[in-house]
Amino acid sequence: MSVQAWTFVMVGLSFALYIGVAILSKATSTSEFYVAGGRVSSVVNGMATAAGWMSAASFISMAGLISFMGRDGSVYLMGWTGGYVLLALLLAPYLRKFGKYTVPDFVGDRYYSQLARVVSVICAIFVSFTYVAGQMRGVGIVFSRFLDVGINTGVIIGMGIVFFYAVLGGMRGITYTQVAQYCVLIFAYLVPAIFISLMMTDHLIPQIGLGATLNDGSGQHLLEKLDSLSQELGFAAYTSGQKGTLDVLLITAALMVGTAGLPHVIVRFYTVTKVSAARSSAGWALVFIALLYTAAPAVAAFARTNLLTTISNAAYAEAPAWFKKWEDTGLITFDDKNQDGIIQYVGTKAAMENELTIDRDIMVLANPEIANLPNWVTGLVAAGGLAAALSTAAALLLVISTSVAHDLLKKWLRPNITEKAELFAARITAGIAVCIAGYFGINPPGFVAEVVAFAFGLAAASFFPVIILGIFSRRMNKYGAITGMIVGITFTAGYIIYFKFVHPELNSADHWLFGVSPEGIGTLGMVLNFAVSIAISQATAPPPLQVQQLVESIRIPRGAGTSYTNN
Amino acid sequence: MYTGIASWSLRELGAVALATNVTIFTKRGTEQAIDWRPGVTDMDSGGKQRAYWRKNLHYLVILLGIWALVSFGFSILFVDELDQISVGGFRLGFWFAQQGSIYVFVIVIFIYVALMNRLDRRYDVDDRDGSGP
Repeated sequence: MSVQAWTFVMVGLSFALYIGVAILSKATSTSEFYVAGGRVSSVVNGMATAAGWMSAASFISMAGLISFMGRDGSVYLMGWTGGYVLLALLLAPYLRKFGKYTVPDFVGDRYYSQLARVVSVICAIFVSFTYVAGQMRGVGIVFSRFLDVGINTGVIIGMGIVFFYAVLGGMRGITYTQVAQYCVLIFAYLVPAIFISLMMTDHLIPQIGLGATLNDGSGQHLLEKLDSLSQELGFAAYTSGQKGTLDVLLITAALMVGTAGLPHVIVRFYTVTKVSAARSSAGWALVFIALLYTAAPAVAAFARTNLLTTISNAAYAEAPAWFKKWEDTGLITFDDKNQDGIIQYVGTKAAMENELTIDRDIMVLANPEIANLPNWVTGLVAAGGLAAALSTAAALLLVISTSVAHDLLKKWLRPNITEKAELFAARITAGIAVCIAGYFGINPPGFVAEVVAFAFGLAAASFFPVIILGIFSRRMNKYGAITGMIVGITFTAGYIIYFKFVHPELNSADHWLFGVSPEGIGTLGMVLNFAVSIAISQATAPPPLQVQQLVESIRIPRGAGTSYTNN
Repeated sequence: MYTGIASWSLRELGAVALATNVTIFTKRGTEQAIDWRPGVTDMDSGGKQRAYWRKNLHYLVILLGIWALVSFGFSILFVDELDQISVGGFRLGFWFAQQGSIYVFVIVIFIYVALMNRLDRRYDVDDRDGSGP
């Protein structure tokens, strides 16, 4: 069977699975819609968290980024996993004890202020929308490349699927669909990785293959070979770093803290049965994420080695089929500058001119073809990419609908709304949000990557300090929290907007504040938020006694199991 | 498993604790009598809760120290020094940056889970009836 036929089979089977699961787990109450009734077991929740967390960026883009960045790619590897340590140790258990449904719920109650609640609702909605637009775009790319249906049709099909199970099933439906999606995506990621590891190093486990010797008879280690190959062609050695140490540190920290502050991740820990399950669930989530994240650097190094050996100095007329196919999509471009018919793919330090540009996003999708794997593997990778994008999109849409129906309507505008009406509002909002996300998927704002960096920076500079101080300081009051959030957001957003949108031509290390790139500025925003919050709070009256008692109570695990019956 | 053994030995400890009040030494050097009898869960009594919280903070400082040392230390600040050491086909700094730190993150979380489960039981604050509503 052809690649396209296999892709139809794999994608069709996986979609049928998601719909079946969604029908079996329909939500009937607001508590089920928002937090699956608080009854999800810790391992299941960990798996669903992992699926919701790993988006098209993790599945499709990350290995490609590492492949081109070498060691510096570790900012994504550590940044997008290290946040789970913060979640497990500093956030998840306390938010689970607090109960309720959302991050704005916590901020509003802890800081006894509707203003704080509304500020955090706006942040949550903004962060989630920027993120979901990128996912819909990923769906469109997979459909258009593998199924020949056009990006718009692809986005509409993806919207229909997400609409079906997010609107119908709420958190309950999403949780169990995400478990299915995790299985699909991890299988789709590891199968080609294992295949390629076996082909290149004879090792079954890619994480070991990365450090092993090549089986081409040279006895050379894979990474040694890759280093020398890169340097011969005028690239930097693969295992060396190019970015400044401080910048790497701050970007890593911003991604870690941003991860721990993202509402669609935090809300998952409201769904488990008890406080100890919230802790272990964050651990399980990281185990499931680590399966992909430790394989990604291996995939990156294998793909890079394969690419350099097969393409560089090859005759253009004899280039492999996948090369021509991706050339058609415009994601690979070859410009024969010296007219010799040979592909010169070289780095900046080489004597010759580089003639090849490769979009980093294609590395994972093209990898099975570059390594000559069977057609069904390519179909599987397409289904995996869709699973990653759809599961994240659903998690984000749920945050948006909960924010509007629960935080804005129930807690602010219409406190007397009935449960039935609230649930209806949540479904309507989810439906509208799917349509808006789909619109951005079809008409992308053109700066999706920048906007995602934005989301992490804002989450790091707004939610994280407010929640941490709300748990670990009894003294923190609403004046400190609100000023801190506003200062953190304004500083971070201002810096990113200035360098990304107002003066993109100045976006280089010479112009940055202390040499910090816009990707890493969220860390400084967070520090600023902490400093301002603490200073203002010390200078103003302490919070009321019942709020101090609330802080005492969330520090003690007992009693979380019954919290949803009190709502 | 480890947690199984821990819970068994803690139950033994609990049995001893039931018979008598246990004395806890706090950091300030004062002694506080703690009532371990079942049913005594009044957290407003203060001392017991403060001791529990202090112990938790103690664990957090150590474990977050490890988290920061491996990620910001080994993988970023000292990566070039560690790269001088080769383990198998890996330079050590590169391995920490792209593999090792993630494994350590997982281990850190599960150590915290085990420590806190033990602490929750010891201070009788565990969420026993947590089967949900």
